[in-house]
Amino acid sequence: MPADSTESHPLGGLGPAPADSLRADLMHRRLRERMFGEASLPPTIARFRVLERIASGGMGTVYSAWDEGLARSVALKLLHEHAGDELVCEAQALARIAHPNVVSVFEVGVHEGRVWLAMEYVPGQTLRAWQGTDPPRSERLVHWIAAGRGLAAVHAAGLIHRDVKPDNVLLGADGRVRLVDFGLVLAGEHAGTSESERSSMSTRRVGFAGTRAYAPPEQLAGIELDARADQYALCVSIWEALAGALPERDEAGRVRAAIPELGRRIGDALRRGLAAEPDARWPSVDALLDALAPRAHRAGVALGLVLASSLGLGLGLALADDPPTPGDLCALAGTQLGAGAADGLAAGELRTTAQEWIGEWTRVSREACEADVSEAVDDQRSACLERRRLELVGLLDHLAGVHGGEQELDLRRLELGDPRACLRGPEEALAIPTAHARAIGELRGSLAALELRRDEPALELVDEARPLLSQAEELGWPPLVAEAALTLADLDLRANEREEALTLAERALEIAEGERQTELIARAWQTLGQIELDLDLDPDVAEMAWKRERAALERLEPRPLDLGRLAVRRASIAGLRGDGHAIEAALRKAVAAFEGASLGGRLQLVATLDRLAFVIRSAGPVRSDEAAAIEARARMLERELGDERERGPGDASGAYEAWTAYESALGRGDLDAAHASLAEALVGYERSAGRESLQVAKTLVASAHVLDAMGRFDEAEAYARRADEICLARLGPDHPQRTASLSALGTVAFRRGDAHAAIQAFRIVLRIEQRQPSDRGVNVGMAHSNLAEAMLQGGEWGEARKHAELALSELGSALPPDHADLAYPLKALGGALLEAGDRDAAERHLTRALALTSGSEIEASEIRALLARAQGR
Amino acid sequence: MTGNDHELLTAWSTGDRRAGAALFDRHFASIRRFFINKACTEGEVEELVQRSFVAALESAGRFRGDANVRTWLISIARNIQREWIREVMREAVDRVEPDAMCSERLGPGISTGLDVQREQQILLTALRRQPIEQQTLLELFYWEELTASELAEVFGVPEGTIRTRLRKAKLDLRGTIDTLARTPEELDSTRSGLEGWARGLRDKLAI
Repeated sequence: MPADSTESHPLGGLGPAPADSLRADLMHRRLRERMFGEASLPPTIARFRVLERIASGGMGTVYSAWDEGLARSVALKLLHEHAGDELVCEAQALARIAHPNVVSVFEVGVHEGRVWLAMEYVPGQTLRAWQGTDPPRSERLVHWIAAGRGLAAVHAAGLIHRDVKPDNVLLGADGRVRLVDFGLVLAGEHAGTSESERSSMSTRRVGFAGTRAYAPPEQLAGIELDARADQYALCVSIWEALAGALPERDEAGRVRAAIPELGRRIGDALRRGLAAEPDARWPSVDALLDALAPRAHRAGVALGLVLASSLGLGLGLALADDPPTPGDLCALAGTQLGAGAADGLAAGELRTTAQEWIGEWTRVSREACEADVSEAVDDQRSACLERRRLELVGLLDHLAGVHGGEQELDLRRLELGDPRACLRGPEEALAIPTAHARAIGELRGSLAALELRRDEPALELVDEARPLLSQAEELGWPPLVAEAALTLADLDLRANEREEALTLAERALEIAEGERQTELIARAWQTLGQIELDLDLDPDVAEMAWKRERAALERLEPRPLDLGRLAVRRASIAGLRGDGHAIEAALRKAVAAFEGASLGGRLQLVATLDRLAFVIRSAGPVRSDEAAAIEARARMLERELGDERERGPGDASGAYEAWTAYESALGRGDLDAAHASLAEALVGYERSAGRESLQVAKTLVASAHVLDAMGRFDEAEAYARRADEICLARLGPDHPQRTASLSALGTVAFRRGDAHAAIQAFRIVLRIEQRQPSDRGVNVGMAHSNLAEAMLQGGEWGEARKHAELALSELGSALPPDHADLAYPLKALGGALLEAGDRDAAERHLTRALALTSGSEIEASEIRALLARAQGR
Repeated sequence: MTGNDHELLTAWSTGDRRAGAALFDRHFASIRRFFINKACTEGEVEELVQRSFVAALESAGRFRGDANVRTWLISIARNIQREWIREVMREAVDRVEPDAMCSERLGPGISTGLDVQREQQILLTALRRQPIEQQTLLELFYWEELTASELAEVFGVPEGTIRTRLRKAKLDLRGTIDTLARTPEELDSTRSGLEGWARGLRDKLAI
């Protein structure tokens, strides 16, 4: 009925309304042609030929149109509102959102004073229509979660949708959900408009805009809104989709108890989003989606981008052997390392890089040979160049020997020492014991090869590295021992093995200082600083290490690559201190340094640009243009880095579809299908967003959970590990999103009985959560709880009890007393008390845990087992 | 193509399609507006506009030289509309559909798809709830700004009768608005601004 259909029409906006002339114009032309035979081209807006009206909405009319330039159909929306600067700005901001669940806006413009948006044409139906066909609830939830992701992307762009409802979500014929009808989008609170601009905007749009049934109280009251209004409307929509009716409130304004069909977890999550008071809702749509998503992948990771690439590598090397006599520079220059040394490599970037490097090494050697310098300097240079050469030879040799055949390796992580540095620095000459020269070269190569295999489970690499350290010790050449110790320490760091990493790095530092090997001193401080950053999250100690590393590097005339890394670490330290300006300044410095770096710097440049864009974007929409420009540059560089594999927008949607398939497989409990879909999503995201994108991280975390559920722990660990490395590189050590990958690591370790590793991982999670601003009480509580369980497994009863109690106190104040998640710390506390011999208290807590738990059957049976022990059975 | 309406009509009736097209261009907006709040779909509006112009061509020979072409076209549109009502009603009777007329059953007519303000929406709805002759009278008065003598021509009744009908139609419209407005503010706003809203609507509805 007309009276109801006005629901979605905005009030206000006095003054002459623009004519709906386009519709009339189209009819005029059709009739004229029919009656008078005068064919006239349909009207055009910009390069779009308008065909016919598809729909009229609250804010504008949508036409089907033909894009003359690109020869494709588009949906052209012409807004009723007169074009003001801010409306144009908003439309442009929309056009910048690229998300599979947000309808793509191709182009924006103004026609006869009115704003138009050219959007992708989506054949399909609205979610309202689709829900009318009675689809299963699990599918409804999957689609709404997808719509929620789109909404989160809208919010991330600093916009508010203002009219989220099933009519404004399209389910395309391709099965993908897209959020549409942004007519009502208004720049978010932090849009940076001045107070006066904002108030003029408010007068213009005073009163209610939106759809009453889905609008939160503040929107009905016509008060200025923020993203939480959309969250509310999303929750109403999801509630309606799952329960079949809009949520009802009692006299006190509280949403009536959840309908049993919703399940308690979903009901609780939605009720929070439906709180009348915006502050009582979830802090963000992402947080809401996290709570709604099926348990196994609750640890969601937001989206972003980066890359790294791997190459198929076929090895069969013919390398020159016999090393020349050290000290004879000219002999060195004249020998072995001809460009042909790399010919055995498969064509591709590895070969190119190796050839480039060999060329540079040969040039430098020749220059050194011809230079007129003192014998002492000659010796130094010769030793330096020989070391560099041995690294390459050893590395290639090692790869040929150990991994003969095809092997996926990430070449750009290979950083061969810059030969030219040998001409610059007063690098300490250190005679390589001639007798062991070859063995030393091989060992160096093995160590360098380990660096290349970062994607493999860190713990396995640790096992491979240990014998190398022993070999170095046998060879008895101190710098090599230090090198091996540092390689092992770095691997330990990646496996979260804090103690061993620390011991080894300290040992390496001692050796390096004793031998006055400045390069190694710098590297040791770097590892020590990294332990503080990644594992301890201690900015003060990290900064101390950072300063020493810098001092050592300065003595070396550092390469741009080293300076860039130094600046990246500086940014992480600033991040731990929450100093946004310092982070940005440091990242900019890093970018400048990597720009000047040769071979190895490009990958770091891309990663740093992305991190910089991320930091700038989090400063709010004011600077989103700046962030977008930086990201664009990163993408361009990435293309130059040139993955052989094809990339294209099609991959992103393929990956997205695979992800959706994973979610529904998970909903069905079909782990094999879920795993297969994730594998597909992973390939898609690697291609579309890059091997080190946050999408890849997210997919890896989800895979880890699925593999964990399948009992394939080794693979699960490897996936979680790789995800954590991506998060570390992209977000910094203390970013809350990193907890997703760390929790996965901890969970896997816990499952396979590696309490030590689990404790390490959950400790970091706890540290990260504790650093977050308020409103994460639940997360801090769950972190304590996980740590308590891991400690219980590791036999640390006292500590376990302490953390279980802390968990209960945190969760107790954040959750209702009957919340299912309380079962986790109760179980841990019960277990700890049982070990301490307090059976009565243990029984009390375990009984409560059993009553509350809604977790897996395993969880319940674990509680029952503990309870039986407490009851002396 | 220039010339006054009368010349264009004459040229058209003797086979000059370009003259017909020019006349069509001049009056398309008025005729479309005539149907837009009475038909259910845009397709129906288009159909009725076409029928009106086809009928105009057929009866061009009977056009009196001293009459106003626009008023004459509107009279034709009104006849077409009455024919159409009879058609629809006949079909509806066959199918036992008592509320077949879009105008009267107040279904989501085409005008509800327009972006109009709440007050304007009330006015549109109220107009649609008037008896069809009253609705037509009011719309022609507000939107086409026909004078009483022009309206008398269209309806084929004396000018005095038109004035009386117009007064009554306005009173009835206000009564209907009272029942539609949700809040006193809406009521006030719609009633006090009736003429303004009505003109605003014309801007929205047409060219």
